Amino acid sequence: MNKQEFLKQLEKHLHRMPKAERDDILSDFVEYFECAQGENDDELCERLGDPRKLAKEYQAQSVIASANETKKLSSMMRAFAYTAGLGSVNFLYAAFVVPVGYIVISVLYIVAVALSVSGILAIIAAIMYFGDALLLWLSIFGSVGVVAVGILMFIGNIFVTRGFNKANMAFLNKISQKIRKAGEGK
Amino acid sequence: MNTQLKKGVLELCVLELLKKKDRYGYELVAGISTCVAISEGTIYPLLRRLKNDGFVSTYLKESTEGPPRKYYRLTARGEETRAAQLADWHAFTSGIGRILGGHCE
Repeated sequence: MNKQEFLKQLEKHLHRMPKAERDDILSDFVEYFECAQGENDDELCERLGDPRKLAKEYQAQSVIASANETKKLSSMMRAFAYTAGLGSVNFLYAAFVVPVGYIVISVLYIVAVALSVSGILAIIAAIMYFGDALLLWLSIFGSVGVVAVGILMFIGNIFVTRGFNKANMAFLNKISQKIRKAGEGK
Repeated sequence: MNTQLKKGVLELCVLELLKKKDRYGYELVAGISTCVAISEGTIYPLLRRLKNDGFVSTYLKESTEGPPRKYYRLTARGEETRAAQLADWHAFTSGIGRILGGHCE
């Protein structure tokens, strides 16, 4: 392999990275070749190692760094999209457990909010329409219960969300180590 | 030699070389590979990680031969890490030395 081929290979395997990052990485290797001018190209490439493995190492790094940085859903999903190609169990986790988990969590939030709101509306309605005192208090009592359940559900769901995010981060870190190990090869 | 073992120590080697002065990538690669057999490419992802973690900073400096080079400088945080890793290394190697010397039975 010569210098051009090495750089081309590296660039090819870094294609998922943002262009600025990729260019920055490639410039390091261009600099390497410039500094080592006069030496045999093949030998330099031999010394640098497999560009594909290097690309994997960079990609693992970049994915984990961006997921750690923002902890936002979108960057986490992007990270999972990368890792989904790494074995069937990981794929199942990334492709099904994660999205389904977030859907379930979202639905739970909606249900919690809906319960609270409908409870509050029921209280208002009871005050407005029930002249009968017993019926009024019974329905207020019931509605307050519904609101309480809604609020508890919402709070509980916050903890569930945090736990799920944490589990996903742990999974990502594990995967990144796997990618690194795969990158070492020898 | 076991690559996993080597990799962990490579970070300390880079930090240690940067303690003496700022250096550019190839200088670090060449310095380390004169003493230890490594896949030279692996230094660059390592340098990038060190930079992302705030252990080193980079700047460009003109060179007499060819285009400007990217220099790496140890940050205060990097120096802390270097000192801690060095202490770990000494504790570890002296322990291993005692095992190999047959003092740990």
